[in-house]
Amino acid sequence: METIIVQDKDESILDVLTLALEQEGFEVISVNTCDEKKILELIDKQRPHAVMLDIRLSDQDCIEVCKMIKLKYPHLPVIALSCNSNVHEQYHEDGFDGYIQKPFDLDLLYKVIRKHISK
Amino acid sequence: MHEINDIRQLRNILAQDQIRIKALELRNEELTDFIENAAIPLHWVDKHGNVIWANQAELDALGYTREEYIGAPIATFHADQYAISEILSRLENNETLTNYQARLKCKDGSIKHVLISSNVRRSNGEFVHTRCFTRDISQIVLEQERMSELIGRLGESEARLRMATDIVESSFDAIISKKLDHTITSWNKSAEKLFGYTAEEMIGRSSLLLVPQEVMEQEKEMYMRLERGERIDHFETKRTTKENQVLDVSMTLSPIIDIAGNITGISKIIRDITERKLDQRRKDDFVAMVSHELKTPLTSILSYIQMLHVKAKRSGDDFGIQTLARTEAQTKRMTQMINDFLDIARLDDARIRLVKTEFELEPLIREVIAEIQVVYTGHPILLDACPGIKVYADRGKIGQVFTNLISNAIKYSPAGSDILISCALEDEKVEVAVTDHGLGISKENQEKLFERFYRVEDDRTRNISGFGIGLYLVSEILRYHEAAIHVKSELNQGSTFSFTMGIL
Repeated sequence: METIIVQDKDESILDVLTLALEQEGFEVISVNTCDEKKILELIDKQRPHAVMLDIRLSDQDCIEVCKMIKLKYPHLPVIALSCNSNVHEQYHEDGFDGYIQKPFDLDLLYKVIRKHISK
Repeated sequence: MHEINDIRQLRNILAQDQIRIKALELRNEELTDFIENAAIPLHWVDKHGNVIWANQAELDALGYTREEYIGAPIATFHADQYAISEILSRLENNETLTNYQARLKCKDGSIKHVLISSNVRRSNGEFVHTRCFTRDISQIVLEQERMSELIGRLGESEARLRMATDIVESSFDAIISKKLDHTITSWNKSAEKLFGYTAEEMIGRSSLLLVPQEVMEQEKEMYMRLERGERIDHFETKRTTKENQVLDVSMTLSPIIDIAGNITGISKIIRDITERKLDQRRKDDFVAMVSHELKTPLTSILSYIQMLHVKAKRSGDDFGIQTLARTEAQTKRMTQMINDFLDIARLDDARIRLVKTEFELEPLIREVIAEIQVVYTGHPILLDACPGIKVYADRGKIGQVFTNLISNAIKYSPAGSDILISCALEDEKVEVAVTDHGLGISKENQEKLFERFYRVEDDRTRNISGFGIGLYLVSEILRYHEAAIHVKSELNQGSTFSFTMGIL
């Protein structure tokens, strides 16, 4: 079973993502802050197959965390999750491997995750 | 003896007279030659004002033959009649004129500026003729005129320079100039106000003092462009003040070029845009916050609907399948409306960025039709002649164009009427058209249709919902793709919206 770390500051998103991913057969570890230390510790301990981080325009925390993860685990896919409809213009610049724009189709969510896990 | 002596004396006297006569004749010849061939133009005018004699220099100077000149009234040769009248009248009154400035007409039509010195020869008090000496000063006058013109132009330049200096000094923008080695050569009042340094403190110092480290590389690139003679307009960067505050500034830079065409320095107009940038950031934050706050609940709703939809499909719950499909479509419609609003905010700041890819038009149109038909089932949507057409554009944005055009066609036409989407190829371009058989649009409304927030308001449209941004967005998205939207419509017959884009 593949493990995904899902980070979002909004509990309702964490709930729905957890449920949707678990239904699709993933093991989900949800976290509601972009605390660099906490997320890196979780990765060290849980060895996930992918990480999803919520990025907001005014918030650089998760972008920094993504850079730290890629520094330590260059092959671990980190996917940006964002409400920003321009996320496709900047995700790569910020170091993410892929992006999912909120609101999303579950089919697309599963497809993106599987694409990155299988790489 | 006496007689012989007398004869000898007489002979002596005669011989001496002959010698004197010879000497006088020689003297006369010399004087005649002297005045006839003198380098200074000379002439005589009789008491009636006619020329009675002129030397060769006078004739040469004005270009007349002796026949044309002698006997003619002197006034004929003067350009200014008041001048010759005054000359003659003053001479009549026994005055001696010295260097009287006049203008004479030459035979070739040109004018000579001269100085006339003259008095009158009288015999027994009677006017015999004038003795006129004419000195050509045309060259001097021309030089003087050129000098006065230069002085005039210099005065104008000085006035312009003073005006420019005043403008520079009173400008709200900081205006500075510097040499190519960055040494500041001028610094206006607004520069003093903006950066906190006085002109005395800055002139002679390096302008790099104002450049924060973070933009130093950018500064070097900009200088390379300026050294190539380019002008740079509204370049946004950062500068540091005397108090170490970092400002957002917009700069316009032009090379200073000398007469020989060499770049000798740079002039800069600098505007403080810190406040504008702050406003921009506040607006961005607000838009991001609104986007996040509205989309977060929609994300949960859509995901739950989709999970339920899957469950309904598995259990064969037809009612559930149908109602959830429609709920999902409405949720997506709401998401699209939020995205449209956010796009409008970006369009206001001209900050829409296209992400262009190669894609086929038909699958995109089919996707849009499928999504729309979940919500609107009452209109057959026909797609004609679009297979295999590839374009290079922003797929998402072109999808938005189709969504808006097809949704509008549905909204403004009676239930059951066809909506036709067609493609026509011509010269490596495709014209895509969306046609309905609906209410149609009056000529007057057609002109305003693509304005932001414009809605056709009449009895027929009163109950049709909308914000008036759909067609504005369509036209703006196409404008970003260097394409334009066109409309053909007749009231109660229907409308065709079309646009043309390049194909691959």
